[in-house]
Amino acid sequence: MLRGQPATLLLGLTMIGVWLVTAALAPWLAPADPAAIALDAMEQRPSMEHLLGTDNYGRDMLSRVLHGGRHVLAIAPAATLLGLLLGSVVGIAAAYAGGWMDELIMRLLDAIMAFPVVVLALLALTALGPSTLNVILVIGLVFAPLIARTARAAALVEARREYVQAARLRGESVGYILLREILPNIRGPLAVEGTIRLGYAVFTSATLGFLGLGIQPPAPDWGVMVSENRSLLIHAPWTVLAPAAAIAFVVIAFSLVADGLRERDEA
Amino acid sequence: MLLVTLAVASLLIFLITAVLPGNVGRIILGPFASEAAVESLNRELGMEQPVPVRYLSWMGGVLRGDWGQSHTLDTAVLPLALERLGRSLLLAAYALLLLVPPALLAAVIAGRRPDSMFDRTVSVIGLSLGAMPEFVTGVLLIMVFGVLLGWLPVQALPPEGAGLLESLRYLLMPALSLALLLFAYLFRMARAGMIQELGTAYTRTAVLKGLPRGAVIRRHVLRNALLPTVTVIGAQVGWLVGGLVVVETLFRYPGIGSLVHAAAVDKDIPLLAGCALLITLVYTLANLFADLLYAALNPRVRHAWGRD
Amino acid sequence: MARVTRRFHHSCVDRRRRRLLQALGIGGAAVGMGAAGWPLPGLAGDESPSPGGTLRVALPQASTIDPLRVSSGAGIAIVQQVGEYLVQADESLQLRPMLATDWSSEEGGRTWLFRLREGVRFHDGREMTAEDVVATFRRLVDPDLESVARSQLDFLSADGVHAEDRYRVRFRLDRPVGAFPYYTHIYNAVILPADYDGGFADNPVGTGPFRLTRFRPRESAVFERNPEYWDAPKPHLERLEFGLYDGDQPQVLAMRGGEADLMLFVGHTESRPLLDDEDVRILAAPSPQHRQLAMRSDRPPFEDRRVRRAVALALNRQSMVQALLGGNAERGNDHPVASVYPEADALDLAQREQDLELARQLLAEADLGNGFSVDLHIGRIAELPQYGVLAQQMLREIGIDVNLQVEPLNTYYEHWTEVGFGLTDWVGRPVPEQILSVAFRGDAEWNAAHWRHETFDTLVRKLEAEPDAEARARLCARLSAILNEEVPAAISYFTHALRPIRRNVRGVRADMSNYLDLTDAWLA
Repeated sequence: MLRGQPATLLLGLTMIGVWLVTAALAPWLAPADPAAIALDAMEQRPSMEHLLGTDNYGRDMLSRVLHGGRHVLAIAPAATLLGLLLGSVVGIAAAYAGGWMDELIMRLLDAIMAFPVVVLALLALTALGPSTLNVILVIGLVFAPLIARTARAAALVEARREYVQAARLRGESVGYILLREILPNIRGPLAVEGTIRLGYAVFTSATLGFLGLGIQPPAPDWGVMVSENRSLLIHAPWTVLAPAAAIAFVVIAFSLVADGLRERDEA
Repeated sequence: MLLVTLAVASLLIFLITAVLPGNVGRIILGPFASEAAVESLNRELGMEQPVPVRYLSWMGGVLRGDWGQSHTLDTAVLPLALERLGRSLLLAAYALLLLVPPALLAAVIAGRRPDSMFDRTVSVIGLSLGAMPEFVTGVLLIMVFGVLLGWLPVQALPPEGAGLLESLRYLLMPALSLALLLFAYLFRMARAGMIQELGTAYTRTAVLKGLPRGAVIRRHVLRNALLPTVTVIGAQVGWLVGGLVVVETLFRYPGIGSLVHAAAVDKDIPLLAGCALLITLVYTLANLFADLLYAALNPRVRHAWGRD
Repeated sequence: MARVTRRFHHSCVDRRRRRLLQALGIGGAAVGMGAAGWPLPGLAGDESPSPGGTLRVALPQASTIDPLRVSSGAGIAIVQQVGEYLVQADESLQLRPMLATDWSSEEGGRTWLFRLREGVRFHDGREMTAEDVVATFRRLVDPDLESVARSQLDFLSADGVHAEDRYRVRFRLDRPVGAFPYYTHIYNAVILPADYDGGFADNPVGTGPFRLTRFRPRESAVFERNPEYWDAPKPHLERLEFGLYDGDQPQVLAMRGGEADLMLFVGHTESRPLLDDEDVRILAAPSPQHRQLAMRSDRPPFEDRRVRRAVALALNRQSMVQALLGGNAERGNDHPVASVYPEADALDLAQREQDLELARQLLAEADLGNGFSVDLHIGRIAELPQYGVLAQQMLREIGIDVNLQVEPLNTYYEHWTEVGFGLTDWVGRPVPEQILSVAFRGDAEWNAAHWRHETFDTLVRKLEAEPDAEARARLCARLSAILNEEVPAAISYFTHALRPIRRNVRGVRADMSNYLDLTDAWLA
């Protein structure tokens, strides 16, 4: 089954697999409690005892990075799913409705998208207060308009196809046509879009953590770790490099998968 | 269309900022001011009026050019936001200057021979750089060039009276972290456009006619491959501004990004709403400009416009 | 560790401080090094100040700089270059004359008379007179103005301030206040012209050593020397450039990169990169600044004082000082009377040590032997989130399961006096009753523990009224003993105020309240 798949796809999937497994098993894999402060082990270089060293409170970096993967695992898929759900419903509905409804919906989405994602998330999280659930909601909501655009473009092509016209003539309900006829046929573009967004969701949640609006310390969030340990950059660069590399690893994995899916669709 | 978008945006901005919880007076006066002083300040700021009234009075002011007074910064919103916007535009322009030529050049070379060594190397490097959030690349740049090597200043704001070259030196690291953020995206879009154009019938015809390959690329392919790129840059202005929030905060560059961040944290509503509106305006204009440029570059659209 | 302490210089070596440092086990080294080689700023005898030069100062972001409303550290530092107080407390908390030359009390501290310095001119050329002082204090207590200071001056009303003549001001207080002169030194009480109308950023006029010539919000402030300064030939510096930065890290980088000569203050963790820098040294001043782990004493589980004491007994303060602040703090004993206060000399409380056995026993007596779980709310600032983690680890030992709720600072301040269990950072005040009264009096607005104790309230009122040093010390001893016994809030340590400066900067001290006095500063 794997034969004939693009190499980028396979590599990307493998990397995601590694992340999923390590994140899921973090409590068992991690050699130490990620929050445990150890006075006798402050700012230690990577060694056999602490493979990624320790931070200024003597916390084991490996354990923190592993546990940080769980935060991302909790946030990115849920946020993307929310965005996909909202976005595709709105996008397909707009395409199907056409006319002034379509125009109105797209203008509204334009207005929302005119805010940079980070600024929008900033506003919303300041309003809602930072928590894991709110981060998911906010990222899902800011991604929805982008996904809606893709869904609409793909659905527009499908809406004019004969099978849709036929279904209409058969007297099928709008809901049936949207969900059972159009949606399955635009799965491809939506899957690619979803994968790209997953990568951006990791990226965005890290950025929010960095700006202090996401998960709050001392929780081992990657973005928060980079932000907290910035001042140790000269003394103990591993405390910054480890979470930074973890972010890059996951984002690259999703880009590879998105690339691979596109390549496969083209082929 | 522009006006509709802006009107909708202004309403959205105001609604979001109006529902921000948190006691403005308390934030301004600090935790140790008395409750009476806080209430008095809230009254003075008109915080107890209903939201529609506040929106209308704000919007009226905006249209008259009076964007209100910042709650926390002893100054009027509009001049401050405009000054910061100017700085941010400078930084963004610098970033685009560092980004576009190398990305396009790399895309042309890579697109001519897809899957060559060069293509693969640039793709992988671009991918890795694009996967690093700007705060990570920024921190790494600071460490290497600012602290270890000491070649570049660690803060972006040039000293008073610095010349152009000196200012560009100060802005190099922040501009670079922004450029790296978008490099992979632009490179891939331009490369795809290039490959597609090289494969079209007219290009093959032109080559078959015996025109030198370089000339074909210059005359036909480059222009057509640039088209999606223009749209991409227009659409990525949003990402760029988002990147500005982080980069300006990281490098201490007083632009609109760090200002909007501060306004959100301090719940400075007039400032927040003003900055958000200004950013929306710029974004909308950038997209409009990208559409126009697209039309100017694309003969088919140009033609269609003539007909309308 | 040795390296850290060696590089911290203590700007003053008075008796009390040396005792404190020796108690911490670091005094000998620090003081010795200071005397041996590196001249302590402002104390070097063989160097005379050379005039001129520009001092570049790194500060965190400032919000408003209107003296009436200013509350951010950087905003205060900007205001303090332009404006001055009637008096100023030095590093051993002795008052020295500034705009007032001498002061005295009548009616047992109910009335205070201040004589003003003659011939002091505002930056606009007008002479400062009693009219200006009266107007300044009336503004501070005007209920119609948004004055930050009003809650601290609740014994003063607008009609209690009068000009006796051109150079004398009489304060008639609502009740006797023994340490009133110290209250004229609160951040907001810089003397401004009588006709000040709130536009400080546009028209900053004071009597201070420097004139604010350009202020850019969230960016910078530039000052020029005031050639008409009353204490000529000071100030020595020609120009000040204040840069405002987002957070500690960029300021530290600016220090390291040679782009700043002085940093207003720095947290311990953030100061670490500066320890390697040969050009920078870090001044430290013991301060009464502390963190209060407040427990709501009007509802379970902390309504029982045995539970509160159990919490205090579970904390290992020495570990906290080492882990959170690298030793740059003095252990606390669950009351705010830090040893920097002269009043602390009469304290004879034994230091509370970690005693898990006793803590468990107290919980059992309170019928909580099986432990309980509780939310701990913490504002995200400095080392407080990590304090939470340490407290969590230590309290787990006695069966208390702490659920950390770390929040952005502004969110925390929305409800910090309401939460059941909260950690708050308290700044240092020049007299201990300022904290005792606003944090622990039964009807105080900032009594986060909602703790009521009649004897305590009576004694605080007495302390506030008492001008005599020895009587004050005795009262402080009794008040501390009550707090130590009752523990409305656990106070684990008093932090040192750290101030990094470039090696060629002279005449600057670290300050317990982070006041920035640059009148004596010069560049070698």
